[in-house]
Amino acid sequence: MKDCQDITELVERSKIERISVGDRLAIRMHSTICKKCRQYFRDSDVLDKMMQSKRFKHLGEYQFTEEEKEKLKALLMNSEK
Amino acid sequence: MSDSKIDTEKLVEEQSDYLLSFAMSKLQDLELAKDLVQDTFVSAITKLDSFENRSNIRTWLTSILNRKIIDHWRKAETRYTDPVSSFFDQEGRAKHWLVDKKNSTSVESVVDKITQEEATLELYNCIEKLPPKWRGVIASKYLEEKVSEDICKEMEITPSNLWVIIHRAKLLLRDCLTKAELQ
Repeated sequence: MKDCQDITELVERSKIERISVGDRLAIRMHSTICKKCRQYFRDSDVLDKMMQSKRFKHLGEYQFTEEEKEKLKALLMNSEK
Repeated sequence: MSDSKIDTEKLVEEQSDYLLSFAMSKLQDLELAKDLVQDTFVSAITKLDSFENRSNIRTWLTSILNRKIIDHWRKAETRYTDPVSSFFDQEGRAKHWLVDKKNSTSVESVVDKITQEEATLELYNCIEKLPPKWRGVIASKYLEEKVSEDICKEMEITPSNLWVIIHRAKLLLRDCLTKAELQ
């Protein structure tokens, strides 16, 4: 008998590769009786969507160049005095 | 002082990109955002005594930056000619009530956008707290969009390691996000 840990792991696995019919059935059976796992399925999808969103990808692109960082450090060194 | 020199360098290295992302989640102008982040660091350095480790340094810097963004908005607003009178006519009726209805954005969608921006930023913050290897897996999968095989090869893990890591990382991220929500 698979527990919540197994089931939620299996769901992540199913997002990466094909899982067996038995496993798919196990997920379905378990989710009909387990509210916490149903919540996990939803949260997992939301996280996927957030991390796949353009907005998320753009956020990582906003960076200072090394040169700008050095300038900033120098500026701060001076304002400390 | 030599040890405060290390502190400022570390501060810039560790916080500048996060602060820039934070600023860009609220502004559209990258140069402006960089300027405000720079101002934030300068203010922070001069006020370092008032910090006294009372809170997380990032939270503290973010609150200074947020203040600066709000100040910028306020200044920008006064530059326009009275936005209220241009919206209403002399009898106090909204001038563009019907005309612009098609193009108007619903408040709901704006609010939704703001919270989404904040949630996305918070997620960034949470990902940074993950163990390095997990963070690497998440970055390769979602930011670089690598296929699973390549991720496994690169991180030297088996396929079953991969989904176990993703599973655990998601549990931690979920926990981190819901905690952030409560603050």
